[in-house]
Amino acid sequence: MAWLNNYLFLPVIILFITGSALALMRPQPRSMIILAVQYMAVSWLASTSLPAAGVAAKLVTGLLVCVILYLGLRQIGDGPLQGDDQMLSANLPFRIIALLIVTVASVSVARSNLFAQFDVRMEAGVGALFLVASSLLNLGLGTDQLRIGIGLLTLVSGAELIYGFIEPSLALIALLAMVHLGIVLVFSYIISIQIRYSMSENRDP
Amino acid sequence: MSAGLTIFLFTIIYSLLCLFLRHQRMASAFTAAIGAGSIAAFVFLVPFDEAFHFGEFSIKFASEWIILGRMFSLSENVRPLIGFLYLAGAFLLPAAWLVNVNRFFPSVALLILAIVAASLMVDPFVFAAVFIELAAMGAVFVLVTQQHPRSTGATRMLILYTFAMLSILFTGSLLEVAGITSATPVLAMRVTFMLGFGFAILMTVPPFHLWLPKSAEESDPYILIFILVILQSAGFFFLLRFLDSYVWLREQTLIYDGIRIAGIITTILAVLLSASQRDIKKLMAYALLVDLGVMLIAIGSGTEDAFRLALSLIAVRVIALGVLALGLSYLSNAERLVNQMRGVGYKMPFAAAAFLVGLLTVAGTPLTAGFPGRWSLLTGVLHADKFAAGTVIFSMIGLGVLVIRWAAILFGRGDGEDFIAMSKEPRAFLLGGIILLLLLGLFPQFIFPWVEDVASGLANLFL
Repeated sequence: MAWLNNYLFLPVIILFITGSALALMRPQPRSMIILAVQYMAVSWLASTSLPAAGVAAKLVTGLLVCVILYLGLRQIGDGPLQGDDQMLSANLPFRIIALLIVTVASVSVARSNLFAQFDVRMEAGVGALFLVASSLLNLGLGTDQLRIGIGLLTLVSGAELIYGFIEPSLALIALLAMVHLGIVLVFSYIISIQIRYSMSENRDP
Repeated sequence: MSAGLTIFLFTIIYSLLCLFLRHQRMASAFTAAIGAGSIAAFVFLVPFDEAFHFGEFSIKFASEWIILGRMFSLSENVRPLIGFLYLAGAFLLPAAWLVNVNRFFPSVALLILAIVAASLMVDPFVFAAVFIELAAMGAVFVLVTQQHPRSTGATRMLILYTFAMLSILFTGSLLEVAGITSATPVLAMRVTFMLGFGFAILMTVPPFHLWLPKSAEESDPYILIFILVILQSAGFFFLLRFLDSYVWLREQTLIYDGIRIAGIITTILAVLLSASQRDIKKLMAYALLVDLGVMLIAIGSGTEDAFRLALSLIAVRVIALGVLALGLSYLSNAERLVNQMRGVGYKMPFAAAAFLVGLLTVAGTPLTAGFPGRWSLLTGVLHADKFAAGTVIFSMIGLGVLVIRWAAILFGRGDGEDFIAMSKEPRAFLLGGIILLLLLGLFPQFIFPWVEDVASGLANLFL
């Protein structure tokens, strides 16, 4: 698998595409495919710091997260999520400009040797910082629970990439996997409660 | 058998039992309370790493438990802290069946206690941040329910706790990898800042308190108090363990100054905000922040006596906030806004009295359980810091005036003051809570020796 390390620019590009798509698009069940691709790219980058078992665990957790969210959202249907566009506190051109700014900022911060003491690879640093920045954009601009959930998952993924270089232990990978699963369960639960509530509100005359 | 594993196993067994009994609210709540109480007794009383004789049986509990290469240790410095948390759970859980909570609450509450206990046991202890995050996730499941479906406050809490987890994890790693001492001031400053950020979130220090009034508005007050008491205590114990473990951190006066200033700002801000509240549930949230501010002022003094006092304040707040929230839970079922609350005290005198006595205790009024702690703080710890002492007195007077204002509203003449019949069980709980708060005000020696026990493990802080 060492040959994968020769093409580390590829997962970084994938992360830029998926992160941008998740920040710009309206969250919907199909967004989970983008999130799954993002998890694959994160696992690829994580292979530079973690043992194979750790990478596999990270990948399986990521895919599991996407499946749980997808199944939850499919049950709800697309309708209730449509309102996010109106609720989002910024329109598309603003979001594109904000995304460009955070992209430039994350690349320049990654090049500034911020993580020099931890021997973080440049590609992993750029990818991680972009994930953190795009997640902050999602958390800051979105009001929809699904968007916030995706933002939190992206934030933890980004921070985890850097943290893998500092503490590549299996225990921490397991704990952070629990955090991913916990976040997805919490947001699936919140969304289902709110859908039930809005349905009962609509039923009331 | 390992003691840590025993605690987790019994917590899960009791939690499953509560799940099984969820349709019988009283049985479920009492099972959870008995479970938490028995685990607290196990933690406090059973000797570890030596044979324990129980009648004819003899069993040896190991204090260490290794899983995935990481150790969960019930060492002497965390035992009293874990015991305290389970004891707090045992005190708060029995009344859960009286309020309008989700029937899964006792079951989830026990699991939250176990996760917080794990945060205290895990070694290296910086991993505790992840466990506190997991406990916050568990809290969302009880804060957002079908009865209370709005989730803005809970979501804000989860986002903030995620930031805190990441900040503390990175700080812990910096401490381990970079080897920070007082001889590396730049790095020490960076670490101090990141630590401060993480702990400010865990302790709900403004501006990271924003989730609290929103949650108070959206959730049942009793659930919120349970969550807040447990999570804030976990954050506070985590902070004490950081201070206990790192000499350079303990020796930095900047940290204590920062904590004291944060405490002063929190107290003043919370008193002013609570005075301007029209919603009684938000008033509780800000009163809680006042209490937190006073506790931070105590910790910020940086002396052994101050730490001891802060622990005693934590013990008193479990009881005070429990009684306050129980009363408020009943009151807020009727109305919430100030113009609608007029005369509600006549309809529910026990609930109104519990709310007011709880608030008086949080204010530290004489003859209530809150007074001895405030008095010791003013006379024993803050005699050199006039501004901090003035802030504590301001909080006592400010909240005291608020109690008078709300008493006038609750017992003012409203439209129709028909007495709302209350069954004898809630009456007994409310009355018992009020009497307990008054008794502890008269005889503080009942609670303060426990604090000595809780403090005894942190050998570097409490010499």
